[in-house]
Amino acid sequence: MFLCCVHKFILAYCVLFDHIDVVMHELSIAQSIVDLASEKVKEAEAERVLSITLSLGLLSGVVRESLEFCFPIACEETPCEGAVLKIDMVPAKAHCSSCGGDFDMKDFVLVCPECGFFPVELLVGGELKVISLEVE
Amino acid sequence: MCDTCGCGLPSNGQKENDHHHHHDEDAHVREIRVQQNVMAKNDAYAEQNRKYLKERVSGAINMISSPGSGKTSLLTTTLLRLKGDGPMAVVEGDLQTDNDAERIRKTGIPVHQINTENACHLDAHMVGHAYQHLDLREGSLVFIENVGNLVCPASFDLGEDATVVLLSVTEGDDKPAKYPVAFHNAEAMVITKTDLLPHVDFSLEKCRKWAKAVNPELVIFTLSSKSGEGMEEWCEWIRRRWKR
Repeated sequence: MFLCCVHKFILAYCVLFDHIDVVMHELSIAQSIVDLASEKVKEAEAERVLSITLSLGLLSGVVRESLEFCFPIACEETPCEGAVLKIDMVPAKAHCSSCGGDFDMKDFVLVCPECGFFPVELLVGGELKVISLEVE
Repeated sequence: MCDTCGCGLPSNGQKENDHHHHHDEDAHVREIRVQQNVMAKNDAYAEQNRKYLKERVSGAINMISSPGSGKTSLLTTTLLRLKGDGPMAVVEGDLQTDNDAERIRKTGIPVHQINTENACHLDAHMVGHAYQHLDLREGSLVFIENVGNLVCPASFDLGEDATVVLLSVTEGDDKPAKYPVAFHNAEAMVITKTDLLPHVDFSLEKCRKWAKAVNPELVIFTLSSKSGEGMEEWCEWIRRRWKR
């Protein structure tokens, strides 16, 4: 209960001091995760979600820490309340058709770090997928 | 925090009786494989929207930008220029008020205002309902003016044919690098308010370079809704793209 109050206070702070765009984005995503999990737990005829395993790509546009922050708020008064969010980060990889190299990408700037060619082709890194749930 | 499993519920508190130490009762715990995209529900509504438009031989453009980039101004001047070319309609998205819908109404084009109240973006479900209100004619082109926000709208497929991202010259030419998802997913970028260029430090060249670095296929327009400069090239692209 106390932790949820602290979360709400920090959320209010972010709203007041104009960090709203970033915090609200992850809250929307957290709500979508909770909606999906709540649907699945109902289908499975179980009562509550204990944990959600999420595959999160580095270039999914979702910031891990913000998502972890918003998740408990989104879970309140749902079958996910109290659930643990387990995040598997997926690194972003791209392929350069010019030099044939495969390499890790840290951002969306699609320039090959080896030969400078662009655009390189993004292979993985945009994932935002619920892999599994633990329910009871 | 619970000492047993580290969740947010208190170890000693009002909810203690509700808090089961489930790690000791594994018999009741099941794992369910899901393997589903978080955005799957929204994507399903987006596909419905696509189908709805296809059945009416219609298309949709999703316009996104920061608040104040000039979406409504661009939309009103565009609608007036394209008026003779075929049926059009507008879906307006704002947290509150129908001020923007009022401005569109003055052009004579049908418009439906969505007030999201708290949501910082439109989603496909909301847009689907808006289409019902608009009762689209065959061969329509729908402009969706999204909530002013360069973060969330980039992640929510509305079932549009193309996303167009706006950026005004008062905003900083490195915006495509700062908000890459929005620019990466867009088909076109419109740099607005070029009439203000003499008064700001915005570099069109740098902006184009940043934009192309995150999306080499991006079609780029520079214009001013106020002066009319560049509007014809933008309207011509719309006419060609949606065969009007």
